[in-house]
Amino acid sequence: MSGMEFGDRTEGGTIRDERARQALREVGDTAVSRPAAWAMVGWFLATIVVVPAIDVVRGELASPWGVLAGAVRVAGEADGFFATNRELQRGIDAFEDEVREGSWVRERLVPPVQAWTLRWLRLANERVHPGRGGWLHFRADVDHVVGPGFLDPRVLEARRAGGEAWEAPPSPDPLPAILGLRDQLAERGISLLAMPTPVKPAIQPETLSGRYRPGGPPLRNPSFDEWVKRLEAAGVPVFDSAPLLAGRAAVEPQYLATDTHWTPEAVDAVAKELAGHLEAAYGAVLGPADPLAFYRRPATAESRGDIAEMLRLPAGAGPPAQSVELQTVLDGRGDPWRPDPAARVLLLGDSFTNIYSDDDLRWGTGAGLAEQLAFHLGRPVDRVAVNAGGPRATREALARRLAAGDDRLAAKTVVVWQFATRELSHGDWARVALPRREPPG
Amino acid sequence: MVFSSHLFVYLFLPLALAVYALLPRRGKHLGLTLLSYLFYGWANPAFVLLMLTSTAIDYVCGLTLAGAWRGPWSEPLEPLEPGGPRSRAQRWAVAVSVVGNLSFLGFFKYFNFAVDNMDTFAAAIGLPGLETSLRVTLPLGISFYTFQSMSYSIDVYRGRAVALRSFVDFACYVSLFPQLVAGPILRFSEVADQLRERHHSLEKMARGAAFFSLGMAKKVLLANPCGRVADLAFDAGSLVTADAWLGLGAYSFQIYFDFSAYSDMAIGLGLLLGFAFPKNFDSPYRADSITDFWRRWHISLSTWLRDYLYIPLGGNRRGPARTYFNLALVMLLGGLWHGASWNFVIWGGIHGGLLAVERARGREGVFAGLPRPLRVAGTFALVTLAWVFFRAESLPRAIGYLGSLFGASAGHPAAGLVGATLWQPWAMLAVSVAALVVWAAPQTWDWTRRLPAWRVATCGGLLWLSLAALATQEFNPFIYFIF
Repeated sequence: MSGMEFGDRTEGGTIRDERARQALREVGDTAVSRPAAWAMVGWFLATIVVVPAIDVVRGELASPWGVLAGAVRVAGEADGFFATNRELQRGIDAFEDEVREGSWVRERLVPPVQAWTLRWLRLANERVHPGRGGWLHFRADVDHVVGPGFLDPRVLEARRAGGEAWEAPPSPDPLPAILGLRDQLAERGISLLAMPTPVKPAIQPETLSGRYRPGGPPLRNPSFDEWVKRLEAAGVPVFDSAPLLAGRAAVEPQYLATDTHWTPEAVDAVAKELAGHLEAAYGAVLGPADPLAFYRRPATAESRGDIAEMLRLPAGAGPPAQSVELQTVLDGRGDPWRPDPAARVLLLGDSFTNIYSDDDLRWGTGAGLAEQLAFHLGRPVDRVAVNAGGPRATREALARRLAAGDDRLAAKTVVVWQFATRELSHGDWARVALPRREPPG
Repeated sequence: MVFSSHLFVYLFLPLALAVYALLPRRGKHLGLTLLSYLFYGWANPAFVLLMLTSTAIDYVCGLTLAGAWRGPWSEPLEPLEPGGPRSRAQRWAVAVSVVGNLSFLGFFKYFNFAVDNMDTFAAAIGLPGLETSLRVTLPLGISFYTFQSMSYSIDVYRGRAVALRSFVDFACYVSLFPQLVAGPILRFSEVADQLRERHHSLEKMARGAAFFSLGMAKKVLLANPCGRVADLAFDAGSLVTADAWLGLGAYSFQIYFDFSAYSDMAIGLGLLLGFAFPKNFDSPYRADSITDFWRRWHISLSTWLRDYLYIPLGGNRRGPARTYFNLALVMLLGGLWHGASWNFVIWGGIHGGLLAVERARGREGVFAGLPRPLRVAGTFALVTLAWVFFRAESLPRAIGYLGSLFGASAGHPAAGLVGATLWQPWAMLAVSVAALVVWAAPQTWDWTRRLPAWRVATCGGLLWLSLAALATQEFNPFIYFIF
């Protein structure tokens, strides 16, 4: 295109606006030598072209055609326009994630940059808060404790509106889901015990802030007490381990320094108190305890911790691995403890249940909450626990097993539903329908 | 798609620049339009149809205003006589354009707000609510492109611009991706001649690359960390006083750097494509009065409101009382333009009220008489306090935050934890550098006027640094993207 004239009357418009005139004059006045201009433009273009070029050469650049695949699949459906649009959005989101996560620039830069910012600026990533003395905190845990009340109607409304456009809106209110499970269990004559598990900053805030001292009262989300009150009024008892853990925290840490979860000693203490609670409330129907049904054998485990993994630091640059002493539980025959589908107690749980039991969590096996509960209860315990997916995943896992004919609710007296308290602020509490029990015959 | 994203920087932008460079002159606007629609549809493909409809309405209105249907299509269109008589068809055409655009804006932006308020009001007087389950999704950038599109019809009607015969050229103007979703708001009269013909040069591209690099640095290295501090404070249920002030100060810097960075990047991208967009920020936090602030902040919006709302309302020509009323009304509507919530109305009301007070004092700021540094500090404090309403999610949260600022908050036991996440070296560094840039650094426009080798190297270094940070950051919001 040729140089532009400041015509007063040209087709397409007139330039009489002083700001536009000034902008054009400004741009025309740029003082830059040709070598400097070439350097600026070349630097810029090379920067934006080299990264995708390397991704192409490495074969790591995601294909954009996947964006269309889902949309084509649903285009003929009844609500074709909106369904296609939703699928396009889903595909676009997945493509964008794939492009970013698969790029060499991210792969190469994240570990050293993260190590540098953590060391010199105490800046972790979006998921981690560095604490005091090498402790790390999961941001969602901190947000739950310091955040607004999770039952606040405005908070609930904001969370409902905050889901992805192509997915069903999340269910942020924990009460209907818990009461729904209570009702479905009641139809089978089973009681429900809710077991919110406090998160690290609630019990050991001194590991994040110097304003607190070990052993202080547990910190609660502003809605927590109201939530407990409403549940108990609706006939769902709540087993709250926070006072026990807070008291013990005055003596020794109850959580792992670089992991979201509790220590083996905390698990054992909580299992013991839970066993006492179950004995007191349901002992008569649980049948006689057998103190020799299980015994324990010491073991050790060592890991870097899941929060340390979240930091994606270079190999060898992260916090040192932490070593813990476990008490693995074995049955009377010396075999490792196993969940017993015929048990009267079912523990539904998340990774707080699975830690020291599920090898995926890398903290050893045979010494988790269900194992310790069985040991202290002197009775078999059944367990359905899912590490990720929040409070919905556990119930969905139970529902899938029931649907597959694996009736894990048969013969149960009580279901203990353990979940991390952070889920009260962040989890999806959608109702999950459990398959109804087929009538005999 | 946001500018500060991996996808935009490494895929969309190289593609857009390559397509633009390779297309012949006659195809450049079509290419730009298609790229812009791809850019816009990336967030929600369905909204492309909405923008296309809005564009088509204004295009037809423009041709009707210019009487294009009467003569041969090849004949050049003439501007209308400014202030001259207008036919019934022309009055209808401009009315259809204005009402059409405002209807789109009203429905998509304010439907949910209206329903919620009606339900609240009905509940207050004991009547059943509307009980509608319909929730309208806000299309990205609708506030920007409807204003932009509307300015075309109004400018043509007023005789300030000549209508476009080419639908592609007009669609290119409305959808131009550098400024589509977060401004600056381009008036048709500002770019009309550039749409017809514009000049590409190495110098222009170099300055564009420098603008984009500095904008990216402002966004990623300053706005994002300040935003992280602000989010930690504003998302907390309860705060101690010092934490609340740090969070608010960080938000004040975040919103400035977020938005001015976007404007810098938009101007830079425009230059790479041969366009020169006007300045949108003029060091607003160096203003010594609220009147001065509004001459410097989001200039494309404030001048739009002045020319298309304040002056048609009578401006300051109908006596002091009407002037104050006009100022307050324009700022209230300006607040509402930013978002459908009472918080934005209050924010607009605060600014409108302060503008009216200053007008009553003969355009003297409320801190007039003090040394300039104190006037600037006082103005910054007022603007920053008003941001509480802009940032807080609801009116009760805004009031609660103000309470924390002045020590009137009840203080939840967990409030002490917030400070531990806020008062960290990275946060102090970000806020300090932001303050330094706000009050001591030259503006992008001035600094890039001369580009010796060391400035080129600085821009390149900042580009690399910010892209390195971008590759490692998860936190990357864009405040004005949602308006």
